[in-house]
Amino acid sequence: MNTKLDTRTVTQNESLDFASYINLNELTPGQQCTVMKVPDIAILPSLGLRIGKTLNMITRSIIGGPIIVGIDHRTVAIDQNIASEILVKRLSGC
Amino acid sequence: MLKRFRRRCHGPNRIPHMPSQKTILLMGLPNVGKSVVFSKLTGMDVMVSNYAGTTVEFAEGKLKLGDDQFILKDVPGVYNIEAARDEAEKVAVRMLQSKPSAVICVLDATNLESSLHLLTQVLEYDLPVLAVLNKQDLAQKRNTDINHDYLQSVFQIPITPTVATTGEGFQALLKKLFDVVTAGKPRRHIPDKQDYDRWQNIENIIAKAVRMRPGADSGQKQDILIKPWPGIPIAIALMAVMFATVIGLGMGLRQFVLLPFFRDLLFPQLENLVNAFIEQPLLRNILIGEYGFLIKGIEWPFSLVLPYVISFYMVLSILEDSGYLPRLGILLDGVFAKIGLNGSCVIPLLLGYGCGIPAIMATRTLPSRKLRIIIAQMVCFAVPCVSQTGAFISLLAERSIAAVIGIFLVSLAAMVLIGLVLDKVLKRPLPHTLVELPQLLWPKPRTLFKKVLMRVRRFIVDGAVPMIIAVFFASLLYELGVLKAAGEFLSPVISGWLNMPSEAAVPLILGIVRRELTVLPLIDMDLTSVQFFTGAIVALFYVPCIAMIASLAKEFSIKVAAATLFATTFAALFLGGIVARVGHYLVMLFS
Repeated sequence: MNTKLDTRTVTQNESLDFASYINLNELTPGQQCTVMKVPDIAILPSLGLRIGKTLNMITRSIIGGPIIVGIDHRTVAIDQNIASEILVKRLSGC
Repeated sequence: MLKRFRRRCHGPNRIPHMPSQKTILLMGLPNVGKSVVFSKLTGMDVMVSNYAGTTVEFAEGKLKLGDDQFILKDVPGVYNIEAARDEAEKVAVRMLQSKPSAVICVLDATNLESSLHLLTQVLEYDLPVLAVLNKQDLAQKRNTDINHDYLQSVFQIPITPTVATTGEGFQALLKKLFDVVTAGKPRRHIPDKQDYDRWQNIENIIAKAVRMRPGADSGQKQDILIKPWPGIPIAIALMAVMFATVIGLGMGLRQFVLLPFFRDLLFPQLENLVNAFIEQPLLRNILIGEYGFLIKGIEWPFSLVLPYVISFYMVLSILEDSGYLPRLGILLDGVFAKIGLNGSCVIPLLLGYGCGIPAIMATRTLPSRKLRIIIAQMVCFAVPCVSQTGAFISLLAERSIAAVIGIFLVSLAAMVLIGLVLDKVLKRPLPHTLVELPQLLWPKPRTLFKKVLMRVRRFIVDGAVPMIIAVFFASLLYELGVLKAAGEFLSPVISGWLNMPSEAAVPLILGIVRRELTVLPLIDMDLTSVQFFTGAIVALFYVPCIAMIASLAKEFSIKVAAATLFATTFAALFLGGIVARVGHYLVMLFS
């Protein structure tokens, strides 16, 4: 899976400091975040998973099931393997 | 561009262009309401549900615009034309490449950005396009206004707002469709160089086109059904209620409505009629004898099976239209992964409890061939269709309800085993779960009623009619002594291995045609409890009906179909013999 970074959205003020980003699996239910990096899977943008979008972590499933997130008005279930490749930044106050 | 290149080359994927047949395609994201729009435009009934992937094979209907006749095609939903993932989505792309007269692109007012992304991809094919802004009512409820005039001016195509489920906006739609089709070639669209630019553009357009009124809710609704707690206990309770409803409602319908009607009213009359007019004993027996086709040919399909067809499809249709099934899939995803499946398999499996053929068709929406094969095999071996379930209940419930539950437990265990074995044999990795959950909606009684009616009608045409024909031949062969001879020929297996009387060969022969016919002839036989249960186990694993074998051949290959035919027969007889022996031993032990 090609997970090439899309650097176009990283503005000049922001450094390429990926160390401060976490992957989607590390969020706890109820937290909000901004998407910073998405793996190159063609359907992800159509499901609303694009750089700069705000996500709302709803819940994680049991026995290795998917992570469920809210994007705008939509609810999307994402496999944990894919979720681990989605890098996000926690929104302040969360 | 790869896509343009592909359009020119003659690959196996290409549908030949037939100029005599003018087609209009109905395209859009999954679960956007294309099939509802289709029904409204053509007046034809097609199956609609509240989940992605209801339409796996495109439906066709006639549409008259002015003096011209067009074929409207309801194309399976697709998220991204450049990345069609499964068989159903690939069908959609192929149809777009087949040079239709026009495309109606159905946009989801509640999910505009992905809808517009698909629209821009469709526009790159340089076809006359009309867009329909559907689910306006749901967008209004969220206090969101969409300026479709602005969208029209940006995309330079006509866009009409509609509420497909109520029929709002369809007059305007037909008029604009006529204009689009008669105008012919569209203005050439300049595609965005990169997908990234496409999304940027769309976000800019949406910022101008969408206005939130005060009080617009922008956040997420609480959805307790998808959280492990209390989602899982709710799911278990819901499934138990559903199972009890199917069985209870079916038994009630049968006991209090259909059985009295047939046994007390219709059959005595039929028997009198035949006795009065037909002297010839052979002919009389064919009509009202042991397998009398006027009696069994009516009783079996209509009083033993039909009640469960009605109760099952009522329950299933409620589950489908509410949008609950994908949520159930998510809850089960982790457990399913242990037997080589993922959550999206819930839908074809549940359909299999109705009929195996739509279940095998529905596997087209599964993301890999491995999953398709596992599900198809589970359905063929171990998932009893509703007809067979009705037959099981008729056979066993009066003796013991525990035996009915026992059959379903055996079926469940077999499914787990099939999953474990095939997961090891077919070594490909499990595709990742990535799925959008539909909004939860209250099912509309009118839609539900239509849907159940449609499925009952389908049962009568595709199920009851073949059953009646099979019973007719059975009665003929029985009276001519052919079945008895066949029973004697098979007696080493039937009597020697299964410990059944030789007349039990009849269900094995009839069962090749229809699944429930492996069970129904046993009802009137004088058997012990062990023999009844043996018969039921054989029936469960035995050859799925001939129509299912045919659809396996069509969807996969002749090889898969032949292997299934052989394996199911072998498994049924092998396990039946073991049950007969274990049962015999247990009876000896406890008596």
